[in-house]
Amino acid sequence: MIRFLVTFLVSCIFILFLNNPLFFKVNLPPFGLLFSPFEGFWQNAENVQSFTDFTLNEEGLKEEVRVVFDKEFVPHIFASNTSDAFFVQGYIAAKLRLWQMDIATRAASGRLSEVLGERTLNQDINQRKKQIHKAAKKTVELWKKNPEEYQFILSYTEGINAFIRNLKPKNFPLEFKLLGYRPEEWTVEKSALFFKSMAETLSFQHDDIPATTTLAYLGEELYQDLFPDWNPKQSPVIPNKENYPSPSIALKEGVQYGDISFGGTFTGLLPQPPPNNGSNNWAIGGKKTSSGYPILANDPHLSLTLPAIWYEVQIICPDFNAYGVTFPGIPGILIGFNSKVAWGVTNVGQDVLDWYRIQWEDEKKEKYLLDESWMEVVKENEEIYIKGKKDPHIETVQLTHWGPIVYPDLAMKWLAINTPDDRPFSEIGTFVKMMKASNYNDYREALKGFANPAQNFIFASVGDEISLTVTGKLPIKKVNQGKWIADGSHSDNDWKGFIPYEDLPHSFNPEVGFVSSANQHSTYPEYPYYYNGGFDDYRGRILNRFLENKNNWTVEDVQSLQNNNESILAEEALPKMLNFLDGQSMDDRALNVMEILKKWNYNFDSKEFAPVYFLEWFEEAYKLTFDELDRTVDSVQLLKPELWRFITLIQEEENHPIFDLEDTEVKETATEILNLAWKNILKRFPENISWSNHKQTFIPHLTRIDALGSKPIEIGGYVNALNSIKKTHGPSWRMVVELGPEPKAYGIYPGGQSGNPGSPFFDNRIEDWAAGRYHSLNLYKNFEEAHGNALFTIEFK
Amino acid sequence: MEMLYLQLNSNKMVKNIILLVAFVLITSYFLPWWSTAIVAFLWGLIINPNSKQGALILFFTLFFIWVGVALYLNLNNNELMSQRMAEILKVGSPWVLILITGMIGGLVGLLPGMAGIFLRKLKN
Repeated sequence: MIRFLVTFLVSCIFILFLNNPLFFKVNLPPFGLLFSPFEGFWQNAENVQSFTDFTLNEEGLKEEVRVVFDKEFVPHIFASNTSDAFFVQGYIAAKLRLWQMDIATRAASGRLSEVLGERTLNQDINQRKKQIHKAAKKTVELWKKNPEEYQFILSYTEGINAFIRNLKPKNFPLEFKLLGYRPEEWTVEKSALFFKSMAETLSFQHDDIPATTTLAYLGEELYQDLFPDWNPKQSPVIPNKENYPSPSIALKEGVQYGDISFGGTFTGLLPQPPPNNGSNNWAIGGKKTSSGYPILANDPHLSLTLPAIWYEVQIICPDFNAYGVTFPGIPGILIGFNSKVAWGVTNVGQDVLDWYRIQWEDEKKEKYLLDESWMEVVKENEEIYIKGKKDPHIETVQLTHWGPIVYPDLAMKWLAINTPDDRPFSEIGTFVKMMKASNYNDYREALKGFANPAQNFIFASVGDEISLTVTGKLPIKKVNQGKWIADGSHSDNDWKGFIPYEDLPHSFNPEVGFVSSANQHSTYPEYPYYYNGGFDDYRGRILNRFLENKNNWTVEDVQSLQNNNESILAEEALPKMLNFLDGQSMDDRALNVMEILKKWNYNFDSKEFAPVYFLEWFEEAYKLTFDELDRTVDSVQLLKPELWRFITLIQEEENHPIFDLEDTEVKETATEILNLAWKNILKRFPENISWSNHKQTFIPHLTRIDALGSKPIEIGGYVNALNSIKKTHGPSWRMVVELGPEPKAYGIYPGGQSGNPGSPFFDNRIEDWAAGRYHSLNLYKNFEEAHGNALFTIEFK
Repeated sequence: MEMLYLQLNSNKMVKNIILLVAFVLITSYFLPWWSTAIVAFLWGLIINPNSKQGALILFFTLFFIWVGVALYLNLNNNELMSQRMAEILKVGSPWVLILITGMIGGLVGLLPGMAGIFLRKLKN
């Protein structure tokens, strides 16, 4: 009796123990579930020895669809109609990246805590405040207005759900098993969330609050001196001034110092997207290429993750035959080509997020002033469910005329959540039209529907047309509007509509023979509409210099330009910095380092020592120079000037009072600062260290589990060089397309097609990406051609 | 005496082991992993071997089934998944993972199986 009871009880406890999550220092998944070779992680150990064709019966399809997975694990989808093509694209996206799709949309909509518990609650609260989930709902309503396009997204959604329905728990992606939750149904809204999430990544950058605090702290004169709008050396995206429009609606008047709404304390500012989200793209006309055919290049710089943010796909149906990359969760192709045209994007970076101070009627903060009347604040409760807790956390969001109140007394107006619906637009439609496009007119027509985030859309065609359009909804603003916090009690402080599509900066077949963009200013100041934003100076300048100075470009030249590590910033700053050094009093080591720097060619190559010394010295000098700004005022970290302004201070204004250190009696100039920074750096780096060892680039997994991320990668590159590689950020896709009679296309991204860490196609491309190598992108004409290069084929019947 | 018993019954025992293997494989394919515990329990209850022999059979049969399937998947996968999992769980090597897999499998067979055997003995 006792023997039975004891063993029975022990068995029950043991099985329960193995079937439930364990709580040690970290949450561990149920061990029985995890280790069972019939159900757990062993089931995710894909067979890599052999691949077999298989057939699936899908009721959602009108006709038969065949998918060839080539030896790079790229799916080539052959369908007889567009809606079937998108159905299968959805199915394949889910097959490759289901967990990534799930977690990305959860993150965007503030639903992480449902599966990850309390630790992500703050992140979820922030997302709910930003109202991204509401914006996604609104986007779906707008998509519905165009029934044909809406059908595409519906088919795509059905395809994803067909995959999820067929999925047995043993086949759940590894991350679901590790985190202990199940995939849920896909919805159209989740695809909209993907667009909104990208809009957040690319247009949530804002510094209105610290700019206002800094302006108040420094006073108008010094602020204007240190924070000028335009670098005179800039080389804008659309340089041809003769094509700038002359509109009647552009606003001449500006925001005055007195209009700015100062004051207030801001704790807990929302985290912002990485400051270096950016990209390069360019198209070279046939006149300047060796083959006589136009060449288009694009490399978007984003946070690097495993699974990679992009996946490659070719889609063939009677309406189009296109190849390129997209996000898992979005139908179509975002950056790609067909046999006639190629297209790509970089972020525009204009400021589409402004802050308005709310004037309350009384302490209850229920009514606020707008013009002459007191308006009621709309309160909405957001329910955030938390894993392991029965009741949801309730977050009350307050909504005003301008948008949600995100900080005490400050409302946010942001294009991404406040997109006007005054013209029929659809992001999906834009890309479907690009997939079908065959010439410049098709391209111009396709872009009309694109709203946010504004992109520098680059284009080239076999007809030797090249073009670049700053595309998206861009608000019409008064001069300086949106740089600082505005008074929210006057509706006159609102945006004055949007720049008409025809007036957006664009260029077509310019004299110079190329078009290019790298997140710099869209135009010269002569462009009649005012805009502000966060812009890069150095990649755009070096890109245009390379493109101007060379003819007879080949595909290989263009590839090597994407991997170019040279920096104009170093070229402009370093010689002058070295001039300030007092060589007389240097020891051997210091002289040695100086020699390393003098011999340097300004390339941030992986094995070089010079980039480390230069950058550390430059940054140390920058920090010492702007010591006055190294503080928080009213809980806000003050802004620091742009790097180009620092370089002009060194070059032209070495006695500027900003060089004076606050903590010392004597009055320092650039000489003292650069020598002091030099000594500090030599102390900090007693030995030479290579740039890649210092930078330590690697690619983390989305879960931040180290073992699922990449090992450190030996690689050069620098944020202000074309090959803009940072620690965990950089070129997330490199594409080069030459549009001859047959397109010749090459691409690479750091990762692999599969999202499964147990697949050989999970991270197989990192090595080639790091080495600057490319894979050919094969635009097959028919199934038979693709089948010759097949790893395996899936037939949908 | 025990040796004699084993020899006399070896044919029958082989059949019983095959029965256990077959039921474990079939249920594991269609049902959640813990169905194995029920199979082991019922096996002990119905087959009613002597306790020592039953214990050995239950543990090692399940140990080798779980190790076998894991090994097969691991080999076809070039150890890609097990290398990463070994790193996540900080156990050093895929072989340790396979051993842990086998131990868990063995215990999932042994404990409920013994409960089954003891229940039968109780009834008798």
